Amino acid sequence: MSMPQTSEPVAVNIGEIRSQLRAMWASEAMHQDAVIRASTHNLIVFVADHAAAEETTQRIIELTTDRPGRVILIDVEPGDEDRVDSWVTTYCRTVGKKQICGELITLAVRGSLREEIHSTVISLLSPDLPVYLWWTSDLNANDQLFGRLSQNADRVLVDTSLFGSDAQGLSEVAILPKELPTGDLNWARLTVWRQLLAQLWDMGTLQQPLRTIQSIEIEYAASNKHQDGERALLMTGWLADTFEWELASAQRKIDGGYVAQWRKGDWAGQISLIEARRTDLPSGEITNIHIEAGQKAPFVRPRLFLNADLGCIETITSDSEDASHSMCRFKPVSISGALAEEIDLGYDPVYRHALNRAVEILTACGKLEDHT
Amino acid sequence: MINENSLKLMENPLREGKRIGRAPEPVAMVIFGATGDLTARKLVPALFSLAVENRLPPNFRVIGFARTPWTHEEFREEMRKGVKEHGRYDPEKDRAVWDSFARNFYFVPGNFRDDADFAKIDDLLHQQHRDLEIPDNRVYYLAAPPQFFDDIVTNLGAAKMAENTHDGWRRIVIEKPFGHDLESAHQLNRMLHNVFDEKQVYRIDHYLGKETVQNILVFRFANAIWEPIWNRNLVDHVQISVAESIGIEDRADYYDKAGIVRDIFQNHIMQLLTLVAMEPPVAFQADAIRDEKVKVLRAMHPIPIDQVRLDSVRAQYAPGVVEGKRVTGYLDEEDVPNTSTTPTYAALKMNIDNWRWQDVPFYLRSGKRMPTRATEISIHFKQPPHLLFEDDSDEDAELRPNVLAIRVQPDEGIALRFEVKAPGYGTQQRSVTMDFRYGISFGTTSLPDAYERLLLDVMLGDATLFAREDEIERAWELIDPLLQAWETDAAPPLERYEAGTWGPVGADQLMQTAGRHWRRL
Repeated sequence: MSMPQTSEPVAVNIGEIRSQLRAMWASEAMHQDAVIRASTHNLIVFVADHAAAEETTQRIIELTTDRPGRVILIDVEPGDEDRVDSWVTTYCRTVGKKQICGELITLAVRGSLREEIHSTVISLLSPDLPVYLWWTSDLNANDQLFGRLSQNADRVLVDTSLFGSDAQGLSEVAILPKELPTGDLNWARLTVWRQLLAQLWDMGTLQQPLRTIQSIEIEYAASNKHQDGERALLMTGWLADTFEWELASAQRKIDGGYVAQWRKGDWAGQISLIEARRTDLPSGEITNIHIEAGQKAPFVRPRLFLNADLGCIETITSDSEDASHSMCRFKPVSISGALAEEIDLGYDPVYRHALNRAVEILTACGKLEDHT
Repeated sequence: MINENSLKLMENPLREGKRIGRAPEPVAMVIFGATGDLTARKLVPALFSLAVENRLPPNFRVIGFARTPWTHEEFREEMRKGVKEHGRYDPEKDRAVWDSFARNFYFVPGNFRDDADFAKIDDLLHQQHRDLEIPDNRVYYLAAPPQFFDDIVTNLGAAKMAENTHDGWRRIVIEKPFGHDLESAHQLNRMLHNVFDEKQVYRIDHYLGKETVQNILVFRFANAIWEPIWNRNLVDHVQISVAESIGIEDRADYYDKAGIVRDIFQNHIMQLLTLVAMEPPVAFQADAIRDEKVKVLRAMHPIPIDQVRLDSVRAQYAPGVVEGKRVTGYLDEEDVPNTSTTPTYAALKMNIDNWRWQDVPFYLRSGKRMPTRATEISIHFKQPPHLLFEDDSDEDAELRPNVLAIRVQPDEGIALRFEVKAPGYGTQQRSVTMDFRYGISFGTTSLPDAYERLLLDVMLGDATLFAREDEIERAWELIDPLLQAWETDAAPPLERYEAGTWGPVGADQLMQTAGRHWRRL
């Protein structure tokens, strides 16, 4: 990647920002044979915690060198003085003969101007391209800035693992207005696991047993008790929604994790979410899924488990000797990778259904009351 | 015969939503001619990419069949080398996936002419079906030389391996050439239909698996702005160019019999032409699209014999320099007879006689040993009716017409050329290009190989990107008379062009007589 070029901070001035961008691209062009730029989207990023701004900027640069677009970063700096500084950064990555470029406009906001920054942001958007709002701090549907920015966004993206706890993350997203097409980076992180579960169904022989699952254990990496279960809860919500299970009861386990009982007609089953202390994996990462299914014994017991050393998820279709084994490549999904998937694939209504069912479990556990 | 639809598994509720793509049911791919180049260079690397990207079904198996007495282990090792050299993913870096993928590779040594050897394949697949409790779905891939197609297909029929059963479906994939003339294409189709239903047959033309080729339909029919101008009212002419910088490599035996027209025009160029010229299909479904493509071919007519000299050009490459390397001429290539008249370059002017395209010529060209490898379709629009802006500095100034170029390879993308006012006090105009490139807009470092898409489609039972029997035969009906005319006194002279150039003088004259010129690729 060519060295990012960054301008000097100036008090915010739309004309100045645009002219800085023009000058930087012209200068880039003088150093290269040709700079061909494409832009596919606008991404507005809100960072309430100034200390996290640098890390977020890195993730944005990673994303934009793969998905060229304009990023407007709102960085809330400490201080009471009403002031907005801005600077622009341009960067290019060369892949073979191709060059993929991005541009980042940082708006460092202080004082009460935080509430007024939306008009500046909107005037800086590239026209007629989709607008994504990535909100990296706690969500509050009543937050004026969030409301104004989300009104101008085609999609709102959040990462429920960045919130205080699993209950907080999921419940805050669940209370956002339904008409706001919301995406969660944790949903993108589940895709590979969901795909592998779908493949079990494709096997034909497992279709009938999977309609009557007796129990599922979902194990996930956890660093803090009752705080990292977002993905496991979403996975549970997705399965419950897909198979039309009704929640009978749910409890938090003392040693961490959850257990929920489900019903469908006269069938009843149980899902256990189990915390695993793993230092080699990001918190919340699913590590094992064990299923016991079938109407009566002998049950089939397909299982999926993460082999972090091999960088693979192994699928074993049953516990019999002639069970089929297969391996699938696994790499923890980075923030930029999850953002890219959300941008590429668009709004997924299945997420909303899964989220609602996950929140049902939390409500039954009383966790939401604790949180609120 | 059992209809495939009755074999479909129950709809998978876990695949709802956008994130989890379509996936095939468990299937075995039997590759006839598995020791050949195609298997190691294209098929298995493509299958491994699908495995890494988690697009293959559980219990996906490959059964290699060929005369070479390989063991299962030798087959796996040879394929690993092939994937290492030609694949998008490295089997060593994705070791665990490779081990799991290759564990399901089996090799059955045998003879295409021996029905007992086919029974061995059948036994193996039946056994897997029983032991693994999976459907007995099969794809037969003919990667063997065409002279063996008849034996393979006949033996599949004789061994009762071709019919869909309650245990699973059967499909067959064949590679081009689909015959070497109309009669042999008929014969091939008859032979296939003696054993397989047309719906089971997938004729692979890897051009149709390319991202940009698939994008032609989306570009044309998902944007409202193109259809109103995509016709004789505004289009002056269309050019389709397939340029290769390579020579005939080690294919002299095949190539000297085939020549450029059979190798490129009858299949790849005709497929591109039909996609550009077709009417909107009633649905994005295999037969709806293929029906429209056939209609285009039916609206075309072979070049009349008295026009062959005017509307066609043929040539052979002479020695020259390509990509900085000195190369020999065609007649000096190993195993090419020095009296050969096989063309390595052709240019044709063809017409489509329908309401949309009447009087809009389609100029088609393809050649070997061109300066670069490039495939492009360009739509050349008409001049504005009146030149309003006079250029003080150039009395002969002419507006350059708008051109929409669809680049199929390399640098896949679409570019639109139009005129703008050059900055300054005068009114000089300049041509500029608005350029969309897949790599830049989507950040993809490498697009999936055409075979990845096509193999997946075969397993999914989607024939949209495969040629149908009537398309193939109609394309031959157009090409055959030309090839026959080239054997007579009506033929244009066989020209020579220096390797590393854009073709013979005659090709330029073909355009110049109509006041046009080839687009520089």
